Amino acid sequence: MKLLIGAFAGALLAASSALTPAVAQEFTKPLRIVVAAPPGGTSDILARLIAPELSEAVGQPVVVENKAGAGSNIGADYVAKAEPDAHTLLLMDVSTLATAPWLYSDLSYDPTNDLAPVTMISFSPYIFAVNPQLEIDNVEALVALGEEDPRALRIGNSGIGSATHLAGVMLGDHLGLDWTTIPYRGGSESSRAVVSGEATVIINGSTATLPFVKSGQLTGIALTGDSRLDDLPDMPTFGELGLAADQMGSWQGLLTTGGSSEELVERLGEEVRRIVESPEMQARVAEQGARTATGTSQEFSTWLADSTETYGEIIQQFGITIQ
Amino acid sequence: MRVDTREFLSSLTTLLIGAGVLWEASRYSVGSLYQMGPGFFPTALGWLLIGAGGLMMVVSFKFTTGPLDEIRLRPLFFVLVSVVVFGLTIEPYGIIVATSLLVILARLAQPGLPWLGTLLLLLVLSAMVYVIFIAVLGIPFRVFPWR
Amino acid sequence: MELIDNLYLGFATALSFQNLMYCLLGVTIGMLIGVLPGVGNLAAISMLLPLTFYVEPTTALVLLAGIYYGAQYGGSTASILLNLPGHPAAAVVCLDGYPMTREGRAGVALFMTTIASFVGSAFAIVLLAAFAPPLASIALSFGAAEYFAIMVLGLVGASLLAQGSPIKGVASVIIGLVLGLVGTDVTTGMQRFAFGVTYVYDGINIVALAMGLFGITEVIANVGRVDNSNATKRITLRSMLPTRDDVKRSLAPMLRGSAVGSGVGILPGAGVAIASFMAYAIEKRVARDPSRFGKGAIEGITAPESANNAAAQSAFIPTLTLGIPGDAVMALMLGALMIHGIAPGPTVISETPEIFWGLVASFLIGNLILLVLNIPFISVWVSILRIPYTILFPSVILFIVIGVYSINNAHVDVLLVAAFGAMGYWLYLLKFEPAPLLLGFILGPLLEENFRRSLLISRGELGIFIERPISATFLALTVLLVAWTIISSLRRRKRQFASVEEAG
Repeated sequence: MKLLIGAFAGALLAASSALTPAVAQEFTKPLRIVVAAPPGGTSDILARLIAPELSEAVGQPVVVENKAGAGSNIGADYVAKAEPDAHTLLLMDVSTLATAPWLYSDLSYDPTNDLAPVTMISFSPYIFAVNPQLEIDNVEALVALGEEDPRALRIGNSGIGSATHLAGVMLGDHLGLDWTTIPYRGGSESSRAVVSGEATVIINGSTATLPFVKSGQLTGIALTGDSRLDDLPDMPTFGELGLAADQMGSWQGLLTTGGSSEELVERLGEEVRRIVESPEMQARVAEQGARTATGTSQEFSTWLADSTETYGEIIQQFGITIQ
Repeated sequence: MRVDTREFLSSLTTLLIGAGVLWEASRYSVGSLYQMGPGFFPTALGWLLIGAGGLMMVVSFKFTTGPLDEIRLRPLFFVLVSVVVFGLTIEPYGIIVATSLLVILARLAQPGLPWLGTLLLLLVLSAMVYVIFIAVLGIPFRVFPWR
Repeated sequence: MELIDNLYLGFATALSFQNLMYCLLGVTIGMLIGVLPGVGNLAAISMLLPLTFYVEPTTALVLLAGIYYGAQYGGSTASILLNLPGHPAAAVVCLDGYPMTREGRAGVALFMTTIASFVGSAFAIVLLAAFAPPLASIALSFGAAEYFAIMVLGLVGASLLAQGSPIKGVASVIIGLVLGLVGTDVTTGMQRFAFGVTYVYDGINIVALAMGLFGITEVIANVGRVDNSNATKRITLRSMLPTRDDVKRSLAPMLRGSAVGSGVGILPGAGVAIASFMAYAIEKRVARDPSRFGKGAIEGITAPESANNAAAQSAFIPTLTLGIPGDAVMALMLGALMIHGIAPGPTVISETPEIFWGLVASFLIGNLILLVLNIPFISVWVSILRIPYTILFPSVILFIVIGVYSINNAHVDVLLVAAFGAMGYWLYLLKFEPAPLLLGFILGPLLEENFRRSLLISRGELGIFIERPISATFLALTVLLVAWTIISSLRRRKRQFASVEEAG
C-alpha cells in the first residue's frame, strides 16, 4: 500500500515537473513597485506613470509604494529580501547600487546577486552651473577665478557619498581646483544654497537644475552625457571639454529580487520598455528634463558592473568614507 | 538627610544619558573649528547633560517635590506590546490581522474588560480602517495575509 | 490697480466649475488627513499625483495645495481632544488645548483654532498676493549663518516652553538635541548614534517620536483612571462659542502668530513646526501673567495655530517664485508643475499669471470652504469625548500606529513608537516635559548643520556670525532675551524678598 502511494506520488511529481516548462509563467498576484525615494521625485513620478499601463499589460494590479531613506538603500534592501518571484519591483536612481558597496562596509544586501536588473528607464545628465554673481560662463574663467580667489568657489552637493558629490570631486580634481565642498541634505537644499549664493557652484541633476538655468537664476557651464540639450544648445558637454563624463548622470532603472524567474524578468522588461518608448511617455519624461533610455537586462547588468568599477576607483582614489 | 526620589531619579537619568552620549561620542573626531568633526556637537551636549544632571542632584537634596506616582506596569506592558506586535505583523500578515491583535492586546491593559466588547471593537475598527485607509485614502497597505 | 486685474484673473480661473470641485475635494481630503493623527499629507498627495497628470496644471496644483493646507486645520483637533498631536507642529497646541478639554472647553478650543487657522492663512495669502517677489528675495538673503542665528533664538524659545523646573526644561531640550543627532552627519556623511540600524540613517522619524512621547504616554497614564465627566457635559452651540474674553485675548496673539508664521514659512527648510513653537514662546514671553500658560490659556492655542497655517501658506512664496521647495510636499508640487512643462521660478508670475493668481484665489476660496466645513464638525469631534475610554484608548493606539506606518511604510517606525512611548512614560513620571524635547529635536540638526556650514564658508572664522547683519541682529535679540529673562526673574525675587520684609 505504502509502496503504491509512493509510486503514485512519484509519477505525479514526474508528470508535473515534465509539464512545467510547457506552461508559460504568469503573474499570479498584485505587483508592487517599490520606489526608493520620497513621493514627487523623478523615480516616484516614473513609477506612477508606468504602473497603470503595466497593470493592463500583466493583468494584475500594480501598486506603487515609497520606501525612502539611507540613500535609497532601505528600498533596495527591502526588494533584495522579498520573495524571488518577480512580483516586487524596485525603481530607483541606480547609481546608488554602484556606490553603496564601496561606501557601506556592512551593506545588508548584495546589489549584484540579491537584485536582478529588469530594464533601464531614463537618463538625465548632471548640469554644472554657477551663481551668476561670479560673472563667469565658461570653464576657463572658472579655473582662472579659482586660482585668483579659491574662497570664491564653494561647491554644494546633495550629501557626502552621493553621486553628485563624487562628480564634484572628480571635476575639481580634473580642473585642478581647490574648492570648498559644502554638503547639504538633498538636492533641493543645495539648489537653494547655490541660488542664494551661500554656495557658488553646483553639479546636480538636470531635472532640478535646468529650470534655474533657464530662468537665469544660475549660469550653466557644462553638462554630462553624450549630447547637448535641446533646451540649451549653447552649453557644451564635458566630453567636448575633454573630461569623460558620458555615463555620469541620473539613471533610473527597474530591478526585481535576485533569483526571480528569468522568463518573468524578461517579460517585465519587454512590457516596461514598450510603455516607456511610447511617444506620450517620452514626452512626459522630456518635460522633466530627462530622456528615456531603455536597455535590456543584460545591458543593464553590464552598465552596473562598469559603473561599480568606475565609482569604486573614484571613492578609493579620493578616500571618501561615510562611516 | 532626606532625598527627593523624583529629583534624584531625574538626575540619575540625565547623568546616565550624558555619560552614554559622551561614551559614544568619544568614537567620533572632534576636529578643528574650520573642519569641525562629527564629535564636536555630541561631546558638548554630553557635558551639558552631565552639568544639568549634577545640578538636579544638588536640588534633590534640598527640595521635595512630592511622592513619585506608582509605575503603572500593566498598562505600560500591554500598550507597548500591542504596538510592537502591530509593528511585527503588519508586513507579513496585513493590516486586518495586525489591527485585531493590537485591539486584543491593548484591551488587556485594563483588567476586567469584557471579551465580547473587545470582539465588537475589533470588528468595528477593522471595518473603519478598511474604509478610511484602503477605500477612501487608497494607501497601499497589505490588507489580508493572502494579498 | 494691477493687483485688482490680477486678482480678477485669479478668481476667474479659480471659480471655474472644475477648479472649484478640485479645490473642494482637496481641502476635504486634507481636513480628513489632518484629523487622523500621524498620517502625513505627503502619502495622500502622492496617491493623487497620477490624477494630476491628466488635468490642467492649475487644477492639479489647486487640488494638491488644498490637501496640504487643509491638513493644517485638522492637525490640532486630536491635540486638543486627546493630547495627541496630529502633526509635530500641533504638539504645541497640546500644552494649552488639552487642559481646555479637561475644563470642558473643548468646543471653544476647536472653534478658536479654526478661526485662528483662517486668520493665519488669510494673512499669509495677502502677503503672497501683494509681496511675493520681494519676500522671496529676502528669503534668499538667509544663508547658513542666518539660519544658525534663528535656531539659537529658537533654542532660547524652547526653554521658555517649559512649565515646571527650569533645569528640567533645559535638560529636556538637550535630550531632544541628542535624539536629533541620530543618523547621518550631513557635514561628514558619518553615521552617528545609529548603531548599525539602516532605518535611522536619515534620522529618527519625528512623527514616531511625537506619537510616542505624547500619545502613547498619555494612554499609559490614563488607562483605567480617566474620568471624562467634564468633557461629556452636554454640547450645545452655546458651549462651543467663545466668551468675549476669549476673543479679546486672542486677537493680538493671532496676528503675532500670523506674522511669525509667515516669516518662518518663507524660509525654505525651516518648517511649519518651528513657526508654531516660536509663536507660543513669544506669547508666553509677552504675556502679563505667563503662569496661565499650560493651564488652558487661549493665546497658547490661537497663536501657534495661526502661525502654522500662515507658514503653510507662505511656504508657497519661495516655491512658486524661486522654484525652491521648502519641504517634501512642496517638492512634490514642483514635480507636478514640471510634468506639465512649467518651470517654476521668477518667471512664473509673468509668464503663467493664470497659474499664480489662480492659485492665490483658490487658496482664499479653499480656506473659506475649510472655515465653513470645520465649524459644523466641531460638535462631531467633541462627541468623540463621549466615547468611553475603554473603547477610545485602543482606537487611539491603532490610529497612531497606522498613521506612523503610513509615512514611510516602515514597520521599524512603529517599533520606535513603542520605544519612545516607554521613554516618554519614564520622563512623564519624572516630570520632564515633552514639548521642549520635541523642539530640541527639530532644531538640533538645523543648528549643528548651519553652524558647521557657516564655518566651512568662513574657513573657521567665528566672525561670520556677527559680520552679517541679519545674523548679528538675531544673535543680539537672543542675548537681550536671555538678559531680560534673568533680570526679570531676579527682580521678581527681589520684590518677593521686599514684600516678605515689609510683612515681617
